[in-house]
Amino acid sequence: MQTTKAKIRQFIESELITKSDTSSLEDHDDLLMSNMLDSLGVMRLVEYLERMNATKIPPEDITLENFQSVNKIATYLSAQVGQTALGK
Amino acid sequence: MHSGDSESGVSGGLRLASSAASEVRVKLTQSQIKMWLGQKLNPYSPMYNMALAFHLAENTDYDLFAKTWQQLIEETPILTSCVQDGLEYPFLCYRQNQELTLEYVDLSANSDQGIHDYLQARAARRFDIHKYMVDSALLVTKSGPIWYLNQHHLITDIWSCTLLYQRAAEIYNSLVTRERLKSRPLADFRQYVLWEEKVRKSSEYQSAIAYWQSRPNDEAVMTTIASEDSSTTASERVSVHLGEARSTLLSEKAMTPGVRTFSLQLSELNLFLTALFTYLYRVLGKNNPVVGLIFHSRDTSEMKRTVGPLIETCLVGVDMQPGETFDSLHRRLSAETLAALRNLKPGISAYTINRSYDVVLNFITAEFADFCGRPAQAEWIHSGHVDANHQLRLQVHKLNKGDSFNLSFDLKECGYAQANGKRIVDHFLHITDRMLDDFTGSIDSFDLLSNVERRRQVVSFNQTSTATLAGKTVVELFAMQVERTPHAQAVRCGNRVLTYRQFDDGVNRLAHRLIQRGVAIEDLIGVEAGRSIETLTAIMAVLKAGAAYVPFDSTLPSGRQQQYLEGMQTYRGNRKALVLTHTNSARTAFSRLGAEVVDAASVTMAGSDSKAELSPRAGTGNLAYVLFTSGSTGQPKGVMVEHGNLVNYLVWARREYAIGEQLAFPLFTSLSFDLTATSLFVPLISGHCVVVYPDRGERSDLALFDVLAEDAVDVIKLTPSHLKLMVAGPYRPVRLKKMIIGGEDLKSSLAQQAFSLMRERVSIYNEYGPTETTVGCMIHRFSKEEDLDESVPIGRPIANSQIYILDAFCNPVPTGVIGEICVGGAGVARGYLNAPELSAERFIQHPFLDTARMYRTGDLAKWDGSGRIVLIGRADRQIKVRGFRIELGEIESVIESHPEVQQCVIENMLPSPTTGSNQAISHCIKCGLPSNYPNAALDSDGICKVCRVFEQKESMVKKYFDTSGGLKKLAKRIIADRSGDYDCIVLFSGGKDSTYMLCKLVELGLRPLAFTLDNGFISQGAKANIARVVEHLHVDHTYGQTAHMNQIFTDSLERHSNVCNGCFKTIYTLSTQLARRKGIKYIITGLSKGQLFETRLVDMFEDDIFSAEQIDNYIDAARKAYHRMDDAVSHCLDVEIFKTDDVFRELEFIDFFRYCDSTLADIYDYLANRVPWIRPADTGRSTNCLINDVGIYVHRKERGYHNYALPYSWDVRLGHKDRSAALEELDDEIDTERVESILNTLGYRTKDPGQPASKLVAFCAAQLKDCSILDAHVQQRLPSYMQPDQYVMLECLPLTPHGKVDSQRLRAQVVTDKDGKPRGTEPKTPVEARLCDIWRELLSVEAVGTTDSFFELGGDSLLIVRAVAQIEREFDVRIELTKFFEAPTVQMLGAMIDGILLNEVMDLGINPTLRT
Repeated sequence: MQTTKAKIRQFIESELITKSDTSSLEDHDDLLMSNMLDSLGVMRLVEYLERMNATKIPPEDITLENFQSVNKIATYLSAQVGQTALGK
Repeated sequence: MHSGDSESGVSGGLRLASSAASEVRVKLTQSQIKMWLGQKLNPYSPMYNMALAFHLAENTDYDLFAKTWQQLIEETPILTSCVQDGLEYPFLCYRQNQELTLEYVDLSANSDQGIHDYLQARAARRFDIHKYMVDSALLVTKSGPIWYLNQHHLITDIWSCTLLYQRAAEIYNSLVTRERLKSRPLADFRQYVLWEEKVRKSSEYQSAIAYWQSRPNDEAVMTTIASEDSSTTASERVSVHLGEARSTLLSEKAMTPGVRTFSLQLSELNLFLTALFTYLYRVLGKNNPVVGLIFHSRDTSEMKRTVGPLIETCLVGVDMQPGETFDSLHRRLSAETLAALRNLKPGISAYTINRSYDVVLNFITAEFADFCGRPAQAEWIHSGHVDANHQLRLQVHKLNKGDSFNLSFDLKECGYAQANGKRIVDHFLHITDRMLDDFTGSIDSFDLLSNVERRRQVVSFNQTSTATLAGKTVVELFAMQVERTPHAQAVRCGNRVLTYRQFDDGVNRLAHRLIQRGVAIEDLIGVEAGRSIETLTAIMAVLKAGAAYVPFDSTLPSGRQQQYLEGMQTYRGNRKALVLTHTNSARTAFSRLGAEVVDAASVTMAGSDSKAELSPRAGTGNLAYVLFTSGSTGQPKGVMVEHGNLVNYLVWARREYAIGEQLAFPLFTSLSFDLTATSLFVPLISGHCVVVYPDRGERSDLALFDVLAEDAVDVIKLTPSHLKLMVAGPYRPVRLKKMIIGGEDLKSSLAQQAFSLMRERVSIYNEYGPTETTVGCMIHRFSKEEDLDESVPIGRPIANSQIYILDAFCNPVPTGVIGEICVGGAGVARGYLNAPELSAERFIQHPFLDTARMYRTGDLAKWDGSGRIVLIGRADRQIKVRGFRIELGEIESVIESHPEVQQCVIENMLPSPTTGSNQAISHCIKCGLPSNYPNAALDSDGICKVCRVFEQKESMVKKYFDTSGGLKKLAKRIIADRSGDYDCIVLFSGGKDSTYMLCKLVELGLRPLAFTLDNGFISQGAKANIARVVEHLHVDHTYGQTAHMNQIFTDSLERHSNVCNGCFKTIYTLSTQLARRKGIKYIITGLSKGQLFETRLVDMFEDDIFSAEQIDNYIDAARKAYHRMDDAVSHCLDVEIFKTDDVFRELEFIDFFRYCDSTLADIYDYLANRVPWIRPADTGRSTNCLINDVGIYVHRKERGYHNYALPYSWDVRLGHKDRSAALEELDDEIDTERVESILNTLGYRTKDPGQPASKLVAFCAAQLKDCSILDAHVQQRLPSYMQPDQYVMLECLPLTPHGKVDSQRLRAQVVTDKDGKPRGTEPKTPVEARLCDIWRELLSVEAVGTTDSFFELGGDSLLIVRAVAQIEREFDVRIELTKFFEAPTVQMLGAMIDGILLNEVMDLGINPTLRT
């Protein structure tokens, strides 16, 4: 789990946002309402997560609830993995 | 294969080697090319200027600011770049040490308005993009300095402007504080260009393109206004601040559950989009609007610091649904924007370049930061121009911190959006408020009109209440007139004249006779209606008897007469229809049709009946007449008009037209035409004289010439078609004082012509009104000075009438919006005879007056800016062609604008029903091939063409197959060549055929490696089979897979409407790679014989190629081309090995069933007894694959037949299975829900094959023989979908007896012509032939006709550039890009090149005839 979060953090920090000063991204930081990520940034993040997990994230899952913070994304992903496993 | 990891580098692509970014020139990006092209087409327009004015602090140090500017341009090289048009590609050119000074302008003496004007003017200065693209100045004003910064959009966007402003602030600050700058310079655009190029090679990009290409063909938001000028870029900006309260409300709404997305900005965008779509639908009348959405494409943090045009345009469109609410519309639009964002990649703008959209929403998220602690005060200055194709651009922004939403509507000058003018703000805000207030409410039901508009259109316009002679009927008015002027002339026909008294006597006699026969009030009596005094007498007598008359034209075909009589009989409770005749022939004819005939002649001649005046019988609420009009269903509609309706018109018309002494009105038009009521009744109730011009056979125009030649009338009522004849004819009557035109749209040009021919001494009235509202309900007196539009206005409602333009929900439409003319008031007829349902549909409850009714005319119109009604055309003349809504009248007016054309009528000819798609599908009686398979050509015996060809060639065809002992020979050959662990790869899908093949090969002693592609949809049952079979056979097995299967499926559906093609290619590609890795020399396929025919053999046999060697050579060559083709497989998989021929030399592909003749029954039998293979229950028809059904579903839907139809028919022909088994296999039951959900996941939308195309035929009365001149005229003025498919040249257009153009007779002209004959598409000159070749090559299409448009065939901007370059090389002729757009067909371009070449030859003084 820790690695997933770390990967997400790393992707966001290196690709999507300009690192301001020294403060680094925390897992509970609000990515969306703070405008840290814009809509296109979220799309790139979704693409990255899809590649990382070799899975599809359906449009209806791209919500504030699932993507607001690194923590929430990780929770969503683990739930999704669980669902897929059940489905198979 | 690409691994997932290597691709994740894509988004990190900005960190490319910095040396790559030092290129002095880079190709323009796709977005830039769009703008470059737009600028090329409008070289003098400043439409791409991005001008901003920043108000700076008063204490700004000018010198330091100049230094700031200097440093900014030094470190931001794109600011000094320029464009270079390469031969094949335009470039952005970077220049070293380019000067770009900051200009000082002292405006300290100027007023605020003066400064504003200065900024406007400066913002409209155009850039020469080949020299420089930035203009920067420091303006000194009373209220402090202003930094003016204007840039060409080619090198910037609004986001870049915020970057530049912020950077300038940083630099300035460092200069003031003398501290080193901490931050890096802004990122270089060239990095982005390189990145874009890289992205365009990625698989994600391919799937994004697949998404954009799969979008349904966009509905044009084309205008229906003919006077549109697409060449101007001039536009007007109307801006409004939403205000704090509304802005807050909107942002709050955006974030409520059910509305919100994952981000505030996207949620806000979706709301603005919903309001915009509602506006387009409600105000601009678009049922399926398409909007270009502008997004930035700044993916990464680096890109967010890049100066350059990093924007893309995506198209978003939805069809408005019945019962649409804001909520439902918002839901679908949100899904659209999310899908658009997911597929937003740099360069996708290329896929919108030639699509039709003319409305743009630019939701800007950029915001200007502080300048040295001072909040930004940025002002965006409109250059006064927009892209020529854009009718409406809405920019939503909050450029300065703390702003509320600012909406800037850029309205193209003279465009349809501008026609609505500044009201756009009112309407848009009204819609926005409504949306925020009642989100779940209907978007249809609320009233959009402002109070002012409502008052003007609904109330003031219809202030028509006038005293009528209440309670009087036409009978009473006539009787009063007889009393007033008994000796005045009432009727004249030739030399025969009757005074009012004399005429009335005859009428009374006949009326008494009718009453004696039991004629009652509300009864219907037919009247033989040849124009004569007898007919007039009969009509008046019927009315006096209290009944209603039904005129029967002498020219009416007997079938039509029969229909009228049946209608009357039904109305009379099945009593025989009663007809008054006065000629023998009519008496005989009506008797034969079963009517009861009353001979009027015998009555009036005999003179025995009483001529005493009758007391009035019918009242105003009783029927006066029934006129039959043609209905669209072919069944005539009888319009029931009451006395009250008629009298209202007549009294009004008497006042309008009949003031004067002893005027004469000619009766020369058919009495069954309601227009004629004016000439008949108006004189008789006002003491004037009706001059009867008897019938001259079928042609009403001859009677017109009689009228004109005699020159004995004062007031004439006629149709525009008549007026045309009059203008063209030799007669110039001098007595005529008034001309009342009705029945058709009156063109201003015609009215002008008539007016001057009559030496301007007549009054011309344009009267509008359907039969259902009684003769005329609107009137306009033509004015030579004012009526300069295309058509003469139809004016204002007549007395006691109301005219509204309403939408489908009976809301009055705002100005500029097309709606239906609805008529209320005293003229609204009772309804249709015996047709209560039709009556209820057209005669509806009056929406504004409780007790009244209103008639929906089916005529389309709109309000113009000055409060006049502009007639657009018939609702049923608005048709859809390839999804475009078009107005036939618009095409007509364009054709009529050609000087050689007098008149044109466009008919939309539907295909004859025999070729329609609804035809029942039959199957070839031999092989089962369906009749709708392309070229199946079932003959009269029910046998398809393929079977017929096969009959002849069967013995030759069978030679290719080597089924007796071939398999053993083959096995021997492979074993002899043995090396390594495996002899061959067997393509083993786990289905029945390949299982059988694998078993057989093992039986023959081969050591195969079984290969299965796991396409993600192999069923569990099939996998279990695979596991069991390979274990049973002791065969090694491997699965191949790829992460890109879904893209491959989508691409396959796109190209072939099935999934199998993509799957097959993946199998071949992966198994070939596997064979190479393992050193295996043979790959054995399990293609059925049918599939072999379908994919390889059919074409060759048709070309009589039968030798196995020849066929193998062909297949070999085809295989190479197959693997080198550009498609999803070649993008997603590693296809390097196919680039050289080595792999094809080293590896042999063998088709098992070429050597094996087992039947379906044999195979099932074998599998049942020898192998642990169980038919899976989970795959539908297929025995292994879950996605197979998707392909079948899509193929059937898009192409109309099963994708296995052809291979199965071959299986039947070759005796592999019988016809019934094949048909049964083709009769799949498909789980549509499951299939749709898979399609959804794939993001694939099935295309609607649509109805067979109808044909637009232009009938032209013209002196031209050659329609190509007209064709060229039209091609320059109308989009391709509006161009007629065929022209029919006639001397004049046939008219109906009513004097309107006779469309039935027109249509008959085409039926006798050879239908569907293609126009001259073969090249006729060497230049045309060569141009066709060039196009074929560039566009990769099979055939190019000389009249096909380059863009229709898929030409895009780059291809134009290449085409122009190629033309220059081949013909040594330079064609300007703009010219290319003007001449998009081979024919037009060829003519242009010929012209240029000819000129050159002439210049050289060489005799041009030598050129041949």
